[in-house]
Amino acid sequence: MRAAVLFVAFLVLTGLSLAAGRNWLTPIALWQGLAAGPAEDFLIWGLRLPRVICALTVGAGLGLSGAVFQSLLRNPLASPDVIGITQGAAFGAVASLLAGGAAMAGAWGGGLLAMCMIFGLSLTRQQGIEPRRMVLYGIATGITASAGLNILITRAGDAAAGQAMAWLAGSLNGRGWPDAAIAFALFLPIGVGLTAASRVLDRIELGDDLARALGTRLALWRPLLILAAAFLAAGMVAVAGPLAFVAFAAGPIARGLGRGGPNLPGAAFAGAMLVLLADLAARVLAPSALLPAGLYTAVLGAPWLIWVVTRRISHGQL
Amino acid sequence: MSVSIENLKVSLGGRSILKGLSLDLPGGEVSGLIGPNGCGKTTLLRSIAGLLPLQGGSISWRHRQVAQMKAGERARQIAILPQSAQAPEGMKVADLVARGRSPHLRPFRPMSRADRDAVQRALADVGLEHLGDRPVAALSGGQRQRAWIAMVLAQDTPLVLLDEPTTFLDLPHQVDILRLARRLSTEHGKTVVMVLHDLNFAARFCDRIAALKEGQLVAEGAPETVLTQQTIGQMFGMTCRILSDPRHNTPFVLPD
Repeated sequence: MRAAVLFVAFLVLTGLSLAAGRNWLTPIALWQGLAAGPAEDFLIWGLRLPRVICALTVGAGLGLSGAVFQSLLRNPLASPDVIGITQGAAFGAVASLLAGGAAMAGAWGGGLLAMCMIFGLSLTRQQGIEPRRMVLYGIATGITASAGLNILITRAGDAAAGQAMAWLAGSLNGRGWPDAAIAFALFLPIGVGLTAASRVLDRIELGDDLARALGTRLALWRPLLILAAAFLAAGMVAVAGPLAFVAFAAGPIARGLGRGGPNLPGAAFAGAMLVLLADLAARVLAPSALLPAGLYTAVLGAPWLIWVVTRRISHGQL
Repeated sequence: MSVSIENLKVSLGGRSILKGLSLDLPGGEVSGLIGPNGCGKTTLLRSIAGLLPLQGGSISWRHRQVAQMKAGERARQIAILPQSAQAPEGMKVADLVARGRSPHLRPFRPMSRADRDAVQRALADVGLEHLGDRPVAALSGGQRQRAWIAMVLAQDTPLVLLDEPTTFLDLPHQVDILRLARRLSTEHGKTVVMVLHDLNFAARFCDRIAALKEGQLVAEGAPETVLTQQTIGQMFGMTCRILSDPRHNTPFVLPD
């Protein structure tokens, strides 16, 4: 029942996203356009469909990555944008932009570099990766990357700084098939792998001792899952910029919908819907301003999170 | 002898905690570990569970070295309930208990009929069968501890280790949990080793007691042979009188 409701919500939102824009399409026109195929209908097949796929994939990837971090670090506040990976990616992207390169390569490089730094710092000889260390070093890495970013932007010229700021808000403007393909190629294997490992996450959430007592090889799994989740997050940020709040909010939303435990498919779904909705808002609410979707993810995500938390407090679950 | 510990040396963070401890704990019985704070009781329990690297010596369970068991196999032999186990947010009781089945699940397969039955049995064994759908956080302290014990039961291991299972519980619930721990041995035939703070509860609910001080064994054996003025003086530096519990015929420690 719940799955059916969510599926209908998905269809409606996707349809609406394809229909919305400067030229609104009627349901019939949308259907005809989709049926006509890529050769006939450039608006749907060339512009809106890749953008919608991009939004769904990036959202799902960010949501999944956030949920994995939250459960690995046993901290509902953990997510790639809190532990520094997003900031590293942002720094890399802007550095690359200002140097005349591509934001995407820079973002990916920066994100992975930040992750390697956090990883190296929080590795202990006895216990492998230690979650609390990782959160603290991650926050410190994030602050360092943000400081570097601010230096870059202050020193850049007005035009370049404007370009950097636009990227930094996170947006799906102008994303086409190549972007969608990159996002999807990354999301599919890592997403499937992480979801398959959700039983391991289940146990890790019970604490290190219990996880190991229940037969989990923590020294192997934790680094592996952290690397996969960070890789995924850095890739998604590289495609669409740091869409605020998606990775952070998708996990708690999914937990609110699910039965306790990580609920990774739920987090991916929540992230995908959040980004799709934000991009829809970006195109519909102020079409001429071309405001980035990242603004709306924050505007939509924050109240939703407040609602989920409030409801859980009133149910005595928090 | 089922749990056999020989010349065990364990360090934590560079500090030597267990300093050449040897101890045998018989199978099918309830053994209690007692001693002052920081004497190494919890470290010993975690070492038996295979959770700590050993600096020296060996621990074997049913004639097999714990350190040599594979992770999955060890999880089907030894269960441990750590002292401050915390359920993830929003988790329901039945889902928590189901986590105990994980060493028995086949990868990428859902829980089988037998697994779900085992979860139901474990819930019924601790008297929580009607609370499976409640969030763990909504349970009372005593019920929550029962839920954790149900998880350990669902894990279905012959050896069960409990680290201070009665902390933070009021008196009736302490008795309740200790009775449950005894039933693990009497009804389910398990070997139970638990860390306890209360000497009188240890005397009443354990078949055997091992007394520790500063990482070494002070005394070991039946409660009435271990709980003497001399060992208690040695362990805690405290004088006391030993009475006899008139109903259970176990020693009763009365501090001076």
